[in-house]
Amino acid sequence: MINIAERIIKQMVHDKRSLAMIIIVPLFLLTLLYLLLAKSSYVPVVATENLPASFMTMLEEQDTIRLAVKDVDETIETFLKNGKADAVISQDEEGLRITFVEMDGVKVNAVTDALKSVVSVAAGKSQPETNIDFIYGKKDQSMFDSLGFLLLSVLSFFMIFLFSGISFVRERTSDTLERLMLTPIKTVSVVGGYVLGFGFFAVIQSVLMLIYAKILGMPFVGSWLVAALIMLLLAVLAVVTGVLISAISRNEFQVMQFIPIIIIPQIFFSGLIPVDTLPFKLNYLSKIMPLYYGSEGLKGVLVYGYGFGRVMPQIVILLCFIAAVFAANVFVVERYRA
Amino acid sequence: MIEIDNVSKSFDKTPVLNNISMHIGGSEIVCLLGPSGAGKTTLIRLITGAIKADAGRIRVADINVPSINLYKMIGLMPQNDALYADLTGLENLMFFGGLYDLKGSVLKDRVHEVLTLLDLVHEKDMLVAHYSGGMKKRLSLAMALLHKPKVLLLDEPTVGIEPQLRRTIWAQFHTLRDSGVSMIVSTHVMDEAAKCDRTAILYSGGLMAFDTTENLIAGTTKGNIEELFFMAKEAQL
Repeated sequence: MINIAERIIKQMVHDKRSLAMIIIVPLFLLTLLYLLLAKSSYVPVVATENLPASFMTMLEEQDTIRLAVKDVDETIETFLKNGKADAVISQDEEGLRITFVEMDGVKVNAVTDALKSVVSVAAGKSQPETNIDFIYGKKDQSMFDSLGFLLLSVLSFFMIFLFSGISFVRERTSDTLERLMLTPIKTVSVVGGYVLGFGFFAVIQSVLMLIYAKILGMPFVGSWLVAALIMLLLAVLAVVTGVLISAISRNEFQVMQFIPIIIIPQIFFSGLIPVDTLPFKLNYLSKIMPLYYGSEGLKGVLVYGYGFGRVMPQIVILLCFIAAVFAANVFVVERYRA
Repeated sequence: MIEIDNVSKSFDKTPVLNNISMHIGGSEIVCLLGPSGAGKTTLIRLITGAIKADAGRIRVADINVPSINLYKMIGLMPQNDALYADLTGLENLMFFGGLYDLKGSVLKDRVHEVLTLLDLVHEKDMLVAHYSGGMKKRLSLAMALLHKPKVLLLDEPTVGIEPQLRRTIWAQFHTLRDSGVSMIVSTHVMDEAAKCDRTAILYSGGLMAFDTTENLIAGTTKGNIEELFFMAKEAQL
């Protein structure tokens, strides 16, 4: 027993990268979570409709929200969908109503707290009832319904990353890569072949996941084709990322070690925690994370019902990521020729 | 056909080959003879262009190595089998044949030829993962021969192959040589050197002797190749 423990310790000491990963990665992830889950300083933008003047004056004095002006001709739904505010506070025969685009804890808490403090002063004991509405989703929807789009993007990226990464590292460790690179094949064809080969399975995987998500009742209002396209792009990006990571890893174990660095931070920034209310301006970090664009695109299609045109920016950015990582791959794999 | 001039190579500052020079013509089989760690595999990898020499120059068919133009001309059988274990033998051959632009019936016929030559016809549809060590060696050799290369670099090609088949394979090597193919065969098996036209004795990264195998044997007191090893070791010391 002691012999085995001693052997494992010696092996780890010889593998400096693994040793560093065991020590550094948990600290890195803990720091990232500490920052991401800190109290948000986000100040929601709120518009009003049909509120008494006394309410308006008191709302203006609240420093936890900022007021925006809504055109009277514009419906609350259109106003919010166009991203002009985070919420609209209105009054109707049922009482006060706060309408949000979707459920976002930081925004909902900030706006309801601000409104509560105003109402308690302005209305005294006869406080009107406050209703909360969401344009997308319901108050009582499940986590699966809320984060379904995220699961689709993360799973399509993660599974293909893992398979392509392990497959390519096996190509290296079994020496078939060196043999392959000593044939007349062009490096771009090697990387392209991996994309096509795993892309074939990515198409099947995307379609099956979408069908199954629909069966499980995931909110799905947009085009199947556009959703499948985004998932396919994520999978292609996963292939080239997997190959790149494998090309700089010595074995399967080292490929696995990149998961906490390449995959986990991207999950945090892809909608699991609402990105635009992140503290310390960490939301800017999401701009360099492909999964953020994939999730944004999928959310747009599946939850908001966006068509191809509305998610074109996300698709173009994913294509740029693919092109950049593909080029990096060609450069790295070419090094296997003298 | 193969010109190696003053070639040196180190890995992590440890010298593996030191100032090697050899010229190998067409229609010739040269044996790289030396113990494990002598630098045989490194020399073969340098000729293929898998790694770059630190010093010196290698030319194959008047083309400087490394060059993508040489890959079609060279057939390599690496020391490690370098096969796809999750494909069948036939699928491995069809895949590599395709990389050399062999297509259709030409590819099928050639695959059948090498399978027959290496006695793998009955095992062609088995997954390579289920092959024995000798069968893997034969398949790896079949892959090296597939595209009829002008230069064959074979790193320990007959290890694990039974004597009868080894004899057949060597007969095929001689036929290839007679058809104009240059071959470098690395081995630490003494009697295989006798089947080569010339023998280079490598020891600790140095070229201790390079001459016709007959002349080398004649220079020994006991008249056998084994003694060349001990002479090389003494010369090194």
